[in-house]
Amino acid sequence: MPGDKPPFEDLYRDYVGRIYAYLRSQLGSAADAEDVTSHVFVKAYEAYRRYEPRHETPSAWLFQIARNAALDHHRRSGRRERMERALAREPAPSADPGVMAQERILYRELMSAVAELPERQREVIGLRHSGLSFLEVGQLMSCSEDAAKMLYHRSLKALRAAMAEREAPSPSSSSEES
Amino acid sequence: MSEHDEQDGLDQLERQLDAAFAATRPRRGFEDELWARLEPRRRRIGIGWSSLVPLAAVGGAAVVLLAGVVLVAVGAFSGGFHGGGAASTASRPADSGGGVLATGRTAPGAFAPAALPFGPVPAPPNAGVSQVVQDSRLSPLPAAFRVAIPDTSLPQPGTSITVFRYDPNTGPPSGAILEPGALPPGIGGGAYPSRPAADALADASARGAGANQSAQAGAAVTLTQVRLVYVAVVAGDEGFLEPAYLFTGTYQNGGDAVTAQLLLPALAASAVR
Repeated sequence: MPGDKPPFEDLYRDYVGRIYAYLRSQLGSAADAEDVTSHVFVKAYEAYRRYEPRHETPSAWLFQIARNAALDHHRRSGRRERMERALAREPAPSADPGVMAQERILYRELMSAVAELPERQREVIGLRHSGLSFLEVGQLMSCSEDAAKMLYHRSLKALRAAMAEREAPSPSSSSEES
Repeated sequence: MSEHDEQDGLDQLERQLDAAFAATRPRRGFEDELWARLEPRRRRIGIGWSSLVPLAAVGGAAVVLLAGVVLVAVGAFSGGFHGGGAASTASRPADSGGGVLATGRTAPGAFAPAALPFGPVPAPPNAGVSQVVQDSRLSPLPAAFRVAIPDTSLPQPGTSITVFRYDPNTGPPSGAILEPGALPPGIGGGAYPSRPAADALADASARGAGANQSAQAGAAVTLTQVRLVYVAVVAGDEGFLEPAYLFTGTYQNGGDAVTAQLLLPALAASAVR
């Protein structure tokens, strides 16, 4: 029933994958996303007795914890250090599309491109595609529902431009050919 | 590109993002490994894991425990606090004409550290330090102060006063000062040993903040008003709203008088770590 507090195990099983995906989109590396996901659920478990479902949905409550954890992680790590760790830990994409399905390559590129967006653009895309409504996104990001929608649409355009830039041939390749 | 084509492109990107997020999952085994790490915490905290245990299932013991821990009766505050009223459970702090919530009186010295509902609480930041309030910023002042408040106007709480505990992820930041009537709803509290404002001033004076330490009258803060407030104190994963006396007055800065404040915990020393 609405307002009933589910057992923590149910919450965990329902959300661990979504929280991981959200953090992957914010942090850029699988290892960092795992570390911070662990941290989120430890905090959530310790705070669960104080959680009141009549004040906010489990989704909003958990993603608030996750958002704070991601922001803390960014503050502690410099951007360069973060990207270096991401490059060092991630397996290099295979040059042979047969090894990894084309879709998985695209998803990986998309998540990586989201992680490189400016903070609020990265956040709004991450939260929206983690299943939150624009109202919930606005509440978490301290803006109105309409402002969240506008920010989201601007962010989509920015993401599309970033993806196009990734796919464009590099200037060095054209100079080698000439 | 036409507007229609552009929107089609964005719609496609949205669908790709939905699929990417749905497909992005941790490595195999991560979920169970993390669950296994949470289990020792469950045992330490000692609550049911798979379901909430109804209070009725554990009998009257749980009800008694709640009555001792969760906040309760409303005392009237008019220049002082008066403990009183039977304990009852409440999930929302209530304001009674500026009153502060306090439990019934207990004998002095009746609190032992083990009886403190949340254990000893951390001291508020900047407690005991006179500060000037200028342009919404706080700057430390010289430690000396003098009190220009009649003894009869100093708050005299009952022997116990309420401390609240909250989730720092969703509550006020550490150092925030809240009026008793403006506390967040839905947080629990427990009784802690209190001390009168006069004792708090005497303690601050003994620690070197008293006016008798100053060689020049003009160098001291003159305190003229006092009221009870709650200070947010965040320590690790927990937040506490702790009662404190907020003294305000003036400080002579050359030819200018600036507003100054001094915050002193209203809790007995045994309740603060």
